[in-house]
Amino acid sequence: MPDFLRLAMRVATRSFDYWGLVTCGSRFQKLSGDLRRLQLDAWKNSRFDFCRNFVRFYESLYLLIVMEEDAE
Amino acid sequence: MRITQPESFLRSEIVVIGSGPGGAVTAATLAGAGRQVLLVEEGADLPQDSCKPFTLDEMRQKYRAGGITAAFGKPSVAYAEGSCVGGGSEVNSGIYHRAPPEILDTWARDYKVDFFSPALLESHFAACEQVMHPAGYPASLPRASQILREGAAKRGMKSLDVPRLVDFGPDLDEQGVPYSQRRSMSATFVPMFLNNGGNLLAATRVEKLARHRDGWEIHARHAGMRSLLIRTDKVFVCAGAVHTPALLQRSGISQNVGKTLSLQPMVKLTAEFAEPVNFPGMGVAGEQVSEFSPEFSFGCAISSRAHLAINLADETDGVALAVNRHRHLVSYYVMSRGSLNGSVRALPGFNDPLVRYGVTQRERENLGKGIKALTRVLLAAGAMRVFTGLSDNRVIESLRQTDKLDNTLPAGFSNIMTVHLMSSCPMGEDQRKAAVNSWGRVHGHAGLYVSDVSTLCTSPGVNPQGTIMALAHRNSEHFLKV
Repeated sequence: MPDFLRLAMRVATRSFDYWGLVTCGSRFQKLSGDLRRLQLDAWKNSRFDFCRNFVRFYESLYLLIVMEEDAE
Repeated sequence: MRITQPESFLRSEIVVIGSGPGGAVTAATLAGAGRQVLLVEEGADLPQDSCKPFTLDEMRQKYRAGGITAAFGKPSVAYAEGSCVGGGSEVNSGIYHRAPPEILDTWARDYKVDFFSPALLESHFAACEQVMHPAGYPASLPRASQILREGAAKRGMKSLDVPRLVDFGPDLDEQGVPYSQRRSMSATFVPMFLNNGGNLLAATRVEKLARHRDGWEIHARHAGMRSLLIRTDKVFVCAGAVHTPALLQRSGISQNVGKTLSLQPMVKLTAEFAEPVNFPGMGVAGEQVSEFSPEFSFGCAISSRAHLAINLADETDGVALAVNRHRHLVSYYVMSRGSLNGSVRALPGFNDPLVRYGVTQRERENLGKGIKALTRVLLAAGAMRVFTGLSDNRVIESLRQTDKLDNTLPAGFSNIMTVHLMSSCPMGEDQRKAAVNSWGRVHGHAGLYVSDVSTLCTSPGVNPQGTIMALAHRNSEHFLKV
């Protein structure tokens, strides 16, 4: 990732995690699978480009890692 | 010779910065003429088989910033660049085109490029092709290619197996199609360069260029730590469409530098078939429908299970489909010609520049028309359904449904990517528009040249590697003559 984006991405990732605290009473990483799905869908379908791109970024990375591991 | 532990001060008659198609051809041509050349590359010097093509490992090892780079705009366009010895040629699919003659004529006319025409470039294309051996499949085509060809024929379009820069091996896949290996710069021009006595210094980032008497001083950093000073008479900057203008800007050179970035925006579609169509090791087939070129074209894309899952991630149960039915799925791309609607700006205090691009209405129309045409081709070839990625009409199952597809990509569509960036330092004698002259010398700066994709005046509408190499060969031969 370009170096000028790294700090912003860290802040965004932390914000995403704490967004769960605001909306569901617990950080994203401690939510149940269903609530995580809800938060992901909310960001993925957000009217803000940034939120959609943020989820797409992590989703793509996750899929690339998991699918390649499965293929091995 | 490969320099692995450089002294803190180096001297070379000529320094070439960047070892992609522009830099490798330049370095090999100059070294072949007996000149003392140091080729400096920011990325690592890796064997071709250090990782499997189109995998996460390849992104980690050979892509700039791990492949996570974007041109910001509405929408942003994700892009990928190689960063290793061989540059982009180590990570692309090697599809080979010459720029269309009418585009070359436009460059000569609109930018006042001297001694520049399709006929004058012929010998330079031929010289590079003699080394690169662009070739189609020797026997049967992969299934993904056959599908495109069958569907295109039924829709009255012509589809071609575009030559690729690969070596076909003796081993065959399940379909009887030979496996291939990239014929990249690290397999061709870089070994030629080394055999001709050139010196290669990898893992070295050039921070800045500065005038020193009649020559240039290059301030660099090796392996992220040691500072290096390189003195030279002549410098060729060949760091690609993003990092060439960024380096020039960091060095205080800004006339028409980084103000006109172009890229060729691309979207992907995935088709599902009743029978298996996706075979292990299929890679990227070279089949393309290019009768709408240079405005837009479409062809085969990488269809590994991971890439299919990413392409289908927005669909209901798309990831499960990619997991359970990946043998029945295959991805294709639609690529539009780009405009000069982007920019590159070096940011003080950061290594990476800010890249911006605005997808234009014409590009949206090209992509919209391309999606419609490709969907019809795939359905004609027997696809059960086509996943378009559009928010309306996500899944198309019949030709009748394709009538609903808009001729313009909707404004909200954000899943656009590219692997072709260019035109950030255009060539020509028209100094209102061009950053470098007709032979790549930076206007107003003796002994400083650019010889890479940056100098293409506009988007050629096709894969640019062949044109970059021919231009680099032309500029190097001219340099040797004067």
